Amino acid sequence: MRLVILDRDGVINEDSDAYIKSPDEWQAIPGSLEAIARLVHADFHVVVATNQSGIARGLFNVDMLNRIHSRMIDEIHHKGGEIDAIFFCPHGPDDHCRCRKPNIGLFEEIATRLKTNLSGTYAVGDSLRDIVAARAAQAIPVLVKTGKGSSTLTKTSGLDSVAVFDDLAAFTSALLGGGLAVTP
Amino acid sequence: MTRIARAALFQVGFVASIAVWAPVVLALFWLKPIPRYLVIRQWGRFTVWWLKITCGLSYQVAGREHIPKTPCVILSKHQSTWETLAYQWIFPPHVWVLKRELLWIPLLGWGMALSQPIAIAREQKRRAIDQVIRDGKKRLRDGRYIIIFPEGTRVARGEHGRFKLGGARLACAAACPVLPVAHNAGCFWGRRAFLKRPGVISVVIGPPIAVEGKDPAAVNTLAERWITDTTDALEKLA
Repeated sequence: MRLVILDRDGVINEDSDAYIKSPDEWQAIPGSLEAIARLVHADFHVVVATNQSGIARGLFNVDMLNRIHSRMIDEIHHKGGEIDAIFFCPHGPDDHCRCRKPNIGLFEEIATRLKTNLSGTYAVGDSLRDIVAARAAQAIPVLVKTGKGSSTLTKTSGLDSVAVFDDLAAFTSALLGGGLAVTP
Repeated sequence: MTRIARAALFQVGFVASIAVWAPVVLALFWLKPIPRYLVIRQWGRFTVWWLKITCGLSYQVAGREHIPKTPCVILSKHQSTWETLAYQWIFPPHVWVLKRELLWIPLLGWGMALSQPIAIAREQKRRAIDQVIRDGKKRLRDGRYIIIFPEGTRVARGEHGRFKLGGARLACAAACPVLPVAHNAGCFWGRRAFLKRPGVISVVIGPPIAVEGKDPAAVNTLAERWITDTTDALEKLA
């Protein structure tokens, strides 16, 4: 299965320290929606794996998250793209869950639901959490400099073996242009 | 159930498992080391499973693809008892470098002795380094990976000890790579803590460090930098 796993905040849409609490606050990063469309047209399935601790923190509820995601999906459709599924973790840091990245749970769920194994699958994120979770799930981590990506890059060493791109659009061009090994 | 009761339950099972496994391992003295080790590591696997059941503390491993196919020197952060248990299952057949006093513990120590550790006398520094290099090369030739905690002892979360050179010297002498490993076990199971915090421990295995053309000090510095930086980052995530 040709699959790409995307983090949401800082990869598809602009991140905010104040959390994305309503559809209006959701603003796509330039080029990210088109990139998703290009992936889909090249026969990739695209899924989202996102920590949404704002729910545990009481900043918004699942209904609101669904409305935010409706807007995201609308905008993606508008550009000719498609998302197969959104996997989110609603917990906070003190809930000791297995799904909050850097934990592996969301990725395990993706593998189970899509009946695939993730080795050879690219997982694009902007933070160390994303990289650790991807690695632990045997996926291939990719870091983008959008969102927290630039500061992740300067703050963390040991990322030498992780591919880094300016943004999702640049990663997509590399993947589709054969600049990365394509998944089977 | 309170955390105290959970930790107590874990402790009871832990001690009982030693009482069960150690005699079995001792009775297998006639086996070759690696087959015997495959029995020993089941104990590590049991204790880590028991920890998950009783205290809700599980783990995940990132970077398994970095483990070389042939034996190497594994340098790891040491924060708690946890890694000595979990690593038995995570890494291929290996031996530890440990202080020889550990082998004097009834049952546990005797069983450990049969895992062929490199047991050093810490007070005799000079001899200890020679022994790590001599015995380490032999064990590597026998197909065992070598696990060394270069800080020498368990270090509390947020702290880092001086990285001793022994492991890097062994790797250079044996011309095998150094595999750096970081984790955040200390955030869940402290150095002498009885209580455990539920959650998921992250172990991250870094890219192997080649020794060719480097002296032990350079190899050690590279490993130290990667391990301390990655540990700091993991502690922030815990």
